Amino acid sequence: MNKPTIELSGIVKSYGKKSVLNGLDLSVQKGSVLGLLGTNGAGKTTLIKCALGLIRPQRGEVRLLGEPAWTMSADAKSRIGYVPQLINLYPWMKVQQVIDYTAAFYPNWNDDLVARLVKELDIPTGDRIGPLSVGQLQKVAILLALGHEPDILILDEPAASLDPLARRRFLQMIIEMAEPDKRTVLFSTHITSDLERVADSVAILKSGVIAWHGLLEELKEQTHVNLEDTFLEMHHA
Amino acid sequence: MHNPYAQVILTYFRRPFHSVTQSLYSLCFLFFCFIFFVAGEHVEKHNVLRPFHLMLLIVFFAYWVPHLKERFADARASLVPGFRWVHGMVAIVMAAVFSILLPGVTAPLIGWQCLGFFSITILIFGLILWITLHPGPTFVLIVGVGWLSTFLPTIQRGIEQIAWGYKPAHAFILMAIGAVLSITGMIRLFQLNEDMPEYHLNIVFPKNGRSQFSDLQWRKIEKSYSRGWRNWYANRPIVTMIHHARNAADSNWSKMRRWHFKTITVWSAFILALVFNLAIKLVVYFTDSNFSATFSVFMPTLISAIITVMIPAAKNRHFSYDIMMPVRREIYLKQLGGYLAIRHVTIWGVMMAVSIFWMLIAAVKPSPGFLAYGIIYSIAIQIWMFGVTVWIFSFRKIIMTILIMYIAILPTATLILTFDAQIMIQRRPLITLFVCCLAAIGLLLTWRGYRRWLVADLD
Repeated sequence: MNKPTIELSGIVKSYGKKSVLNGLDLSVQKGSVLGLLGTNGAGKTTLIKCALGLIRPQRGEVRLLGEPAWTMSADAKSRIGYVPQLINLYPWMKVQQVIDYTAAFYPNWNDDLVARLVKELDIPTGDRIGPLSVGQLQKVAILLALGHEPDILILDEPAASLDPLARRRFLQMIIEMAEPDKRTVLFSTHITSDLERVADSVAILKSGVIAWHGLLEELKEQTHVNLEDTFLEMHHA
Repeated sequence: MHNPYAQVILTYFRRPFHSVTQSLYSLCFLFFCFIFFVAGEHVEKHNVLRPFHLMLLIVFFAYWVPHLKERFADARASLVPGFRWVHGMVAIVMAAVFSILLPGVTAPLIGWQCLGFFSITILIFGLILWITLHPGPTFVLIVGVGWLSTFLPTIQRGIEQIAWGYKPAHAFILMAIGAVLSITGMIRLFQLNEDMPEYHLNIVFPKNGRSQFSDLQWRKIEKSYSRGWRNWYANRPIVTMIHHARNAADSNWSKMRRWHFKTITVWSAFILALVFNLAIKLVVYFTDSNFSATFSVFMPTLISAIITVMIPAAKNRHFSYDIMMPVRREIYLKQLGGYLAIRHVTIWGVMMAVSIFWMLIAAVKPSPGFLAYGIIYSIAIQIWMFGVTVWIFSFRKIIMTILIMYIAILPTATLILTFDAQIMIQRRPLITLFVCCLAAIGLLLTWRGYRRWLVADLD
């Protein structure tokens, strides 16, 4: 069996008195595409931020590529791509300048891939970041996360603001990138149809713990209904 | 409680940011009233506290009026029934309380005349209202110059003459101008809608998202910066940043320089220092030279300290982007901190050099002792402010940061106000020991701050 690429065990995270994650356990195998489902405020973003070492859980352990997420090495970080929910790039830079700046940090930056993505996602490279729409910003963030061909791709509601054309293209890219036993993808979403299209496994977050985690096919076989209905049933249970 | 007026008033108490800052101003205000009330005769000799009292009101207006604009420059103002009327009425009552009633009540306590004092406050309120409606680079300039000018003896004397009631005609003219500015400003504010340019102009609370107007503004700016030297000037810091990011493997300087943040440039600091010294010289042309020298020495102290405080605030939103780059957390923090320190020293150094050079050529001739102590104090305050900034921002809590920074800046302000006072000159060794202690605490806080940043959430 593969060693988990992303491993969270006993994660407890609260903001003041508000408890968000209550002893959460989750492991994502190498080469897996895991869709993370949960209602608004369920803690999907907190889970992702803990997984990346952006925020520190009060208890529990997070390991990414075998390293503790909080003290991740530069080498491990160069193998991770991340699309945040709230994108905060430098507004005074032009898109091309942000690409050049980010590229300078990654030794394995793929210029050809980036050029192709710019064309396919119709990204205005000459525009400044500041006045870009949320959807355009999301495209830039996706491009920056993919440019160095990461081994782990973590996406926090990546398709929420994309137009139908860009969304379809983006999901296609995820499918292409997710080669078996090579690249791991963890993404949170509200759109169950997106998840059904690209994910091979699913984790449902409820009350600060993973209420269900397994292969998507298994879930469908167990419930005999579509993912959206299953999610609604679990939520009301 | 369903009374809409009460609900609007309660928003000022419910929001932690508002309630804390307002409590702070109220406490300071009451404290000054108390001092004047119980020790009026003693305070009379140190009349610098009176402009301070006025300054508290100015600070309140400068904080409250932009918030007021934020209420009206919002879609809800047009869509929610009665929104404009209710918010407008509360705003009028608050404006009346803080620009007329409060000064009117407190004026006798501090030995000022009611009419004289509120003629000044109503004028300031009107000015701040119009500046807030049409913000721009002038906003910072006017507020800054206005604030600094209250320390000038000539301006202080002028204000006091009016405030004491010695010049009722002047007071009446000021009040009439202030009333016209306030009323027209209020009317304009209550009518704000998307079609008005000032709806979109807000530098104090920047609007999130974009609008057709802001798109047009961006395009206009882009067009003017797309060619020639302006294009080169606008893109130069970014090109340099990219160059350093590429060069980071070979150079330690590039390792730090790649985390560049957009603040004042060295050239801007140079020009700012030059303009400031020139302005000071012009304003205090008829006053004593010591005052000019005090400001020339402490201007770099204040400005470079304020710039240092602004940098982490500007960087705050981008930590999550930076920290995901392939660099270890502690390495990133060391490089960023190193760059912050170098930038601080550079800006302070440039401004101080300009000020000293200016004093020499403008024949202010400060004594060597004055200059030496001034520079020592200035360096100590820079270390202190740097340490406090690094430490307090690691908590990433806005209210706590404002409170601590407010307290931390007090030693700086006190030194500026009293540097050449006789009592300070007599107790130089003691004061020097005090500033050295501040610097030592600053160093400790820098170290403590770094340790805290290592475990801080950078989301």
